[in-house]
Amino acid sequence: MLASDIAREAAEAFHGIFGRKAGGPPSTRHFAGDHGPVWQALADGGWLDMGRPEADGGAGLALRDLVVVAEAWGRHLVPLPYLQTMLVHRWAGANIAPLAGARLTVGLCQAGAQGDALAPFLGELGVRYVTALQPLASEAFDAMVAAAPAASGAHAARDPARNERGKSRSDHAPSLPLGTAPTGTAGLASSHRAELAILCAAELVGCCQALLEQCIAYARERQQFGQPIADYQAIQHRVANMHRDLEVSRTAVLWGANEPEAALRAARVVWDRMRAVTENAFQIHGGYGYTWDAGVHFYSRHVWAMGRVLERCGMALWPN
Amino acid sequence: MTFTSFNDEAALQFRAAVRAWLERELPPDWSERHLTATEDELYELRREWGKKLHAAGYAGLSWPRAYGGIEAGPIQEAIFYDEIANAHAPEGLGRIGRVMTGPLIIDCGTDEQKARYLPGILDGSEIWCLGYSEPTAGSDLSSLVCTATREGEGEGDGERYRIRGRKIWTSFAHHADRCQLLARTSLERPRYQNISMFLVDMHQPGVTVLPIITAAGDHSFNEVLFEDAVVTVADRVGPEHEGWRIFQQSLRHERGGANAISYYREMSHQASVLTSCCARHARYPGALAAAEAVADEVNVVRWHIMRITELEANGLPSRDTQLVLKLFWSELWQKLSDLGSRLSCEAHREFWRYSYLVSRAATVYSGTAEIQRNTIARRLLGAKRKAAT
Repeated sequence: MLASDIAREAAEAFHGIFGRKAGGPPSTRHFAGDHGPVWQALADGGWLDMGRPEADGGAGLALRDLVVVAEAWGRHLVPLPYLQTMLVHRWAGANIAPLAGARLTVGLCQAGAQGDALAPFLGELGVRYVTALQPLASEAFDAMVAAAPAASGAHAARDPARNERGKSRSDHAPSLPLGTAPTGTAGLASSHRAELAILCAAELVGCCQALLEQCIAYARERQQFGQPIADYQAIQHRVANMHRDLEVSRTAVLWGANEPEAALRAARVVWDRMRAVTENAFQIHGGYGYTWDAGVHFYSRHVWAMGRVLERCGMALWPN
Repeated sequence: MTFTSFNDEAALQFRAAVRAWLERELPPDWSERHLTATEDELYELRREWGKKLHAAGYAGLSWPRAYGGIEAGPIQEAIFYDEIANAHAPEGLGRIGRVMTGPLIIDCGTDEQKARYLPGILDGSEIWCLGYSEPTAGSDLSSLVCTATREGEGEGDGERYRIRGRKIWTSFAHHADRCQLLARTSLERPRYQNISMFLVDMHQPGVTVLPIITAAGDHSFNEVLFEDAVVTVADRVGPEHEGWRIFQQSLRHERGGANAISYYREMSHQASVLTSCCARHARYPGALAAAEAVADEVNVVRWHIMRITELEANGLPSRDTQLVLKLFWSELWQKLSDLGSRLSCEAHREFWRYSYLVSRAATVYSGTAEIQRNTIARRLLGAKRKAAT
């Protein structure tokens, strides 16, 4: 039931490559960065074909191995839809040709959200987004592509979404409209939903592990009443709870990867706990945690964004 | 034998063999009868069960073959306890001896101690208890004040200690023949270097066992008074004053995974009562979904145990994973019994009331939830970090 040595080695290699390419800890700087080289490295290194059957020219990793890669990917919180794309390559098998193109990807949008966007994680210009669960008519897709802002260096004006008070969302949270492939993708098979759900869950575990490490570094450094806040038991027990939630979630991912029919139930265990990890992270960072620059919100937003994706896969967000 | 996966062919065969043995040895209708068995009936059965374990070769499960064990690896051991719990097999009275004292003596005991005590532990004829906690030394165990005072250096009568003090939460003490005891052997030496480990005869003047009735109404542990009880130097384990180190070393024998399995099985049973009966008939909207979500978490406990066990069996790092297990299942059990108590049907009121009360102890025994969190935090935040006040 454990991952194979190959998967563990792949995860190591992943950290080696993307730790450098993605530029260390996620931050606003990271978010605004150019991810072209990262995407190129993913394509060049064969990472998009990790899960593709060997017969079709891929590395043929099993689901229990792919979750290890997904967690490694999550550690870097790179705003690129790697897992979704890797899964399309896996599912397409020998029929990869119509889906070829390094920047082609697949994703899932919210119910009925034709014009909505999944902000802020999908901030890459030029990434074509495919809704596999809720196919749109190709005219609608064309209209969205036409309406999408041009791919220029500045991303200030490219978020058309507005919040409930009618104000423009922050310039710092770029997003792209969701569209569908001109090929017209049918709804995902339940086995595909299971795979997507458990990889999303594994990715969240990687993200939240990085967040815990950020919290630990902050708690050691930040001083109050003459000592690091890490010396206070109130902080220590929050850190312990975060670690517990991460370890339990890794186990849940293993369950879902070994028994894909339980993947959505396992993903639910993970999602609940990763949400709790981000809440603890806000609190440990105090007032600083509430600022844009602290970056805790990126993780929180990502957990919620993935929650919506998981919901589209069939996971219930309620009751908690 | 060391398996590397629960799905190894040999592991599956071992599981089948244990299951067949249980079917043979358990009383007929046991799966129902264990709920209604009387105290006396249970006691007899538990006595007998120790002998059956021995006859089948399962008594010294993880012990070296040279001492009568079968050298079971982590996975084999976990499978054994899983099947035991699944069949609701009675707990043998000799558990402390088999799991704690036996391995301790094999590791640190003298040849004389091995010859004298190991056979009785294996065949179930001698019952052991643990004299660790005291009324004033719980989580802070090394502050214990029970003393072992050496008498008359040198010959004959001099080769012994007098024990004075109180031990508490002592499971099996009311059945025990011997006690694995920690006592302070020096009032001057610094903490951790002032304690020794002893093997004490419980059947002697000066040893009094007082029952403690729990909040749930059970009698499973006791307070034990030592008033000038005697133990010889030959029954000290390891050098004088080095008992704390030996105690720490003995904790390595505890395989957290195998130990947690019986709790998992109990929780799994309760979760199925909840999802198949109580929550199904509850009048609250969303009750069943909430119950199923908790049942899923209970299932993760099983996977967590398997994960730890496979990591251990493959020589991979498992400490980070191991550290959260007790915290995870104990708090989850309380959540489960709370939900069960709220959603209980008429027929299961007593079932959930008992579960609710019994699970209160889970976050206290074997290291409180607070101590568990301290340990995790110390590992993550730095070895020497002490909680500020």
